[in-house]
Amino acid sequence: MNAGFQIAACARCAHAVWPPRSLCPVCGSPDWTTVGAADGVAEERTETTAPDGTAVCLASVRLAAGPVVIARVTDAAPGDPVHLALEAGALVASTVPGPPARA
Amino acid sequence: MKALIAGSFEAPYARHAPVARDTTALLAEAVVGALADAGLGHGDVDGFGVASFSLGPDRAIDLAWRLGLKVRWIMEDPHGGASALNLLQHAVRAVEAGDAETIVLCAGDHLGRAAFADLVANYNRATAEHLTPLGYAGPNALFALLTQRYCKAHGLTREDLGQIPVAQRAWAARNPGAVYRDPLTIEEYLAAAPVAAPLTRYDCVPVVAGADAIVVTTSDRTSGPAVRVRALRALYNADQQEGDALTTGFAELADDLWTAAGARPEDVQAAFLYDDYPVMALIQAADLGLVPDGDLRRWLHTTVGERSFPLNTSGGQLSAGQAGAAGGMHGLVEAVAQLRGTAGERQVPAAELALVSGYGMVLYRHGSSHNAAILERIA
Ligand SMILES: [Zn+2]
Repeated sequence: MNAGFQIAACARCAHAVWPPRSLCPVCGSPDWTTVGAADGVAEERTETTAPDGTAVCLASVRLAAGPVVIARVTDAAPGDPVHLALEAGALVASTVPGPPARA
Repeated sequence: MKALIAGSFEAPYARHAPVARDTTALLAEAVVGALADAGLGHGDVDGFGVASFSLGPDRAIDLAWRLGLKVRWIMEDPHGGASALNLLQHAVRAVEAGDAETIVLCAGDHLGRAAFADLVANYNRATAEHLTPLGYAGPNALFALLTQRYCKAHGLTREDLGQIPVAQRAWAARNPGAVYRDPLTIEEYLAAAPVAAPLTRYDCVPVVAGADAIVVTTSDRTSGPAVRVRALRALYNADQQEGDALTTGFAELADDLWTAAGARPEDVQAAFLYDDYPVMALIQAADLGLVPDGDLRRWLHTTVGERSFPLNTSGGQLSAGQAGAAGGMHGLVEAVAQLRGTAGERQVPAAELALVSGYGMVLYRHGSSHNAAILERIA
């Protein structure tokens, strides 16, 4: 279904944002389009414990589209190019292009 | 008429407080204590402000009613670590404009395990929609990422950053109100297991129940030493969550703050920086001008580690504890006690001028809210 992770970009000045917002922080426009954001580079990662007690790795990922996002990572180390996809509402970054988001 | 801070009080923090010491009871205790410290009575109060994550469904007006207060100025601030200085900024203006004569500001929380988990998971929409689905269990992970980034950018190690919690623990030994008072060595700090690498439990604030309060009133109503707000500056959404957070809104407001105060960083005898994590205390020190030569490592080991400069003399939130929204007022209450000369065993000699900061409201990646004040002792 999901051809790739997409984020909002300002229809007036093209500034890309994540998470989505109401007005563009650069120009104040309320109008948005979408832009592909499936590619990025992992910057820092940390392993922590999720509320359900399982281990989870979270990372900062600098998107080629601009924003730095927080994503769950599996195999990516700092400096690795990664692909991003939304899986059940969770942004996941992987070093290999993953399967399309699970239905 | 000049507005002064006439008194302060902290309702003792506790890791495992009895259920009866609920948020309302703790806030009441703090309000009563602050009025007594100021030498003022219940009937003197005509303004009221509160910050709390767990007051609901009550709001400021309901709490004021429970406290029997009839007021002509009221305010509630939801901005966590930045709430106290935001309340103070408005309270000083209100007293100086004659809107109220004596304002009590309080902040506190008693969050049970479930309430705390709910607060963390639903801190704001960005968190609920974009962090919680990741398996996010709170801001430790975000500040672990920031700590890595900052240490890499400045060539710092865990041993460097550990100077802050170790020194603050030494201060906490002199604070009967701190929840952790046993000495902490750098060896123990370095040997601790990671919570979210590189952070260990010594880098994360212990959650406690407690409350803080201060009294702002006109200069003719104070008895004994009081505290004047020489300058207070704030900046919210400084980087719109789009920067690297290696410098913060504090760097943007610092020049204006010091100029308005007519002072320089070397003029303050103590600083009370918002220490939700050691790296944040360090970033604030750097951004607010406390490290004039930019040598962070030397500042950590000498100025902080050898305690040649009083930083977070209560032990800070790292040793005294974080009582929810009271975290924003904890440093302010300690600063007022130091400036009024009531800090007991940990009293800083000749404390005339102090720096206090507030920081917080993590909005997706890092804090969004920054405020800082220069406070002055008025004999
Ligand atoms: Zn725009």
